[in-house]
Amino acid sequence: MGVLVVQGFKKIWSRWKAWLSAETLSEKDLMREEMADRFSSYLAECRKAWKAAGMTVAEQKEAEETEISLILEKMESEEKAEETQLLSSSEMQNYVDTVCDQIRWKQTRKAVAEELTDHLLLQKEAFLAEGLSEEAAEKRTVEEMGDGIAVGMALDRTHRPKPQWQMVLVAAVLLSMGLFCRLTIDEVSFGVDMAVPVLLAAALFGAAYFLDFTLLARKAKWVILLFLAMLILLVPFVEKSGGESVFFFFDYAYALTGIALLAPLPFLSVLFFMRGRKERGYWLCWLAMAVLAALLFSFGKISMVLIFSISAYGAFVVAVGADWFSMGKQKGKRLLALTTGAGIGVGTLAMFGIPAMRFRLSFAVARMAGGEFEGGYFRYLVENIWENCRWLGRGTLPQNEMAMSVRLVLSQRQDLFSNDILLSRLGFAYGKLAVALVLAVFALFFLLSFQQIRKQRSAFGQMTALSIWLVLLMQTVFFTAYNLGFMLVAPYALPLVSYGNTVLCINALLIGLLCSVFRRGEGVRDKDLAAA
Amino acid sequence: MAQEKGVGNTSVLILKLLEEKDMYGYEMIETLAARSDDTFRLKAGTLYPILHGLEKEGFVTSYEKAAEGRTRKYYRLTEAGKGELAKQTERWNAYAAAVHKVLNGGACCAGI
Repeated sequence: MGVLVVQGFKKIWSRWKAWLSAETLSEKDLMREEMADRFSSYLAECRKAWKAAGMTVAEQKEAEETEISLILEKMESEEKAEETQLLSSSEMQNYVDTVCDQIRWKQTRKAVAEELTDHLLLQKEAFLAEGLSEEAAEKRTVEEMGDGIAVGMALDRTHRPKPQWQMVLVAAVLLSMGLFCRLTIDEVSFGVDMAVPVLLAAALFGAAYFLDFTLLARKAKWVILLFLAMLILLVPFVEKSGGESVFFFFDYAYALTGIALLAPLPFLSVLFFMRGRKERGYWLCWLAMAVLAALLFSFGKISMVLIFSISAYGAFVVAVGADWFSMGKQKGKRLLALTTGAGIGVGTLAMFGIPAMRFRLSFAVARMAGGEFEGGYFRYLVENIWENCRWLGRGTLPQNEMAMSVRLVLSQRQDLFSNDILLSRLGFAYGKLAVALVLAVFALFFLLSFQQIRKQRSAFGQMTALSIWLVLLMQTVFFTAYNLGFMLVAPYALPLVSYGNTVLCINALLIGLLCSVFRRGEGVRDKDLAAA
Repeated sequence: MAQEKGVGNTSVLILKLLEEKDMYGYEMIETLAARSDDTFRLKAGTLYPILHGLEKEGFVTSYEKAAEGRTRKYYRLTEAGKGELAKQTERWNAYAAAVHKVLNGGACCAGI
């Protein structure tokens, strides 16, 4: 028995080790696989033809063997052709190395090296055609290029991460607006308790801004493991508080919902790991998405599952559009359409079919559409706030039975519900124009960042940026909708503006990471990520 | 030519080449040399920093294509690049016309 356990353990451990050391498919692997696919379908066609021609089994076998040896020869020669990418002469290689060594942004070096190599080889071929000897041709080629160090330094000046001043400025404005609300509407007095989370958020933003987002790809397995470890460590300490899953650490409560906002990051790592793995990779990604969604569901907020799913779906769309799984764009699109339909179907069935879900849905509908005593009290309250708002300046208290409640909710800063209706309270305290201003800054933020997402060169950069963007957008949309009385989906946070210290910090981190994609995106090529 | 703003002279030539079709670096050097009877024979070391700069400015974009078993990087003119080319061409024509006038006695002396 003991031996069996040890053996079993050893087996699991060796599998783990194999998984951890397994490489992501590189460009070369993908090419080789593609080649193998091509040849095997060719062979299948040959077999059909032989059969049709009425060859005997022995003859067929013989023909197949000759064909296979021919194929092997061809594969070898194709691989050799691939190797002509490498420079034969050390002088030419030295030149490329010298140029690349001057470029400080290492990620961009490979693309430059490839371009220069192609140029060198073309130039050399031209000289050879002119009748120069191999050696003379190489020498002339390098001479024609120009001083390696000077060229490298000129390229270094062009290849720098792009500073994102616009984004930083807009993020800073959002953070200040949040601070303003915190000080004046929540009437929190300025102090350590209040300043520390804001400083931490700013620091996290800065750290993520300078961080290389391709870590999500290059350290894919570690990102996944880290996230799972975090969940496994935290879940036993989770408590429910006011409908929110929280965990306590040194007497402070941290919202687990905030950590859920990070779920798209390990999902991106999974996606990266499945690059070029055909249908199997595609379905495994969906499985990972389902598992993560189920985990989030267990924390209790459906809006969280919704935000994650929409964000992950965005990444999926980009992936399929770029033929990320190497199964052909058309096939990918068909599969995605099919899965989307199935997903919506299953979701709808679950929503109406599972009694617990149906109950929550009816609760949400009542919250939005019910009368004031039929679950729609909050909406009634919010309506009363808006009705008594001015365009500019403080609103007047309603002249009905709600006056007391409105006054209460406006001053209840610790109450979760007051947090959720921050925009309504802002409208009452400073006027509808103040709310319009906040929303305008958000619109600017989302437009500016969307433009940059469209410009991303690498599929991975685009996936990362889009899924973070969607997380931020959905939060803003849900929060704003809730504050305007459309209360079907529970609000989460208004990124950087509404509090919840944990959520504030995590959103700051996400926005920093988004900027990191914009800063470095142009230097990233998908195929280089896999090679690393 | 006095440059105030915008891209340099060599860049204008490159943009002009790309107006016709997408090209890779080596092709540009050869085409330029052929068109100018070898007056403009760019060194690769001059060309690539300029090309990458133009790409960063958004005047050209690039894409990769497999050729002869290796990767080849092609450049394409963008809308912004077309605008820049038109602007620079106009400026050059004005400049050339002015030089021409001066060399032929100058506009001021025309009536004397």
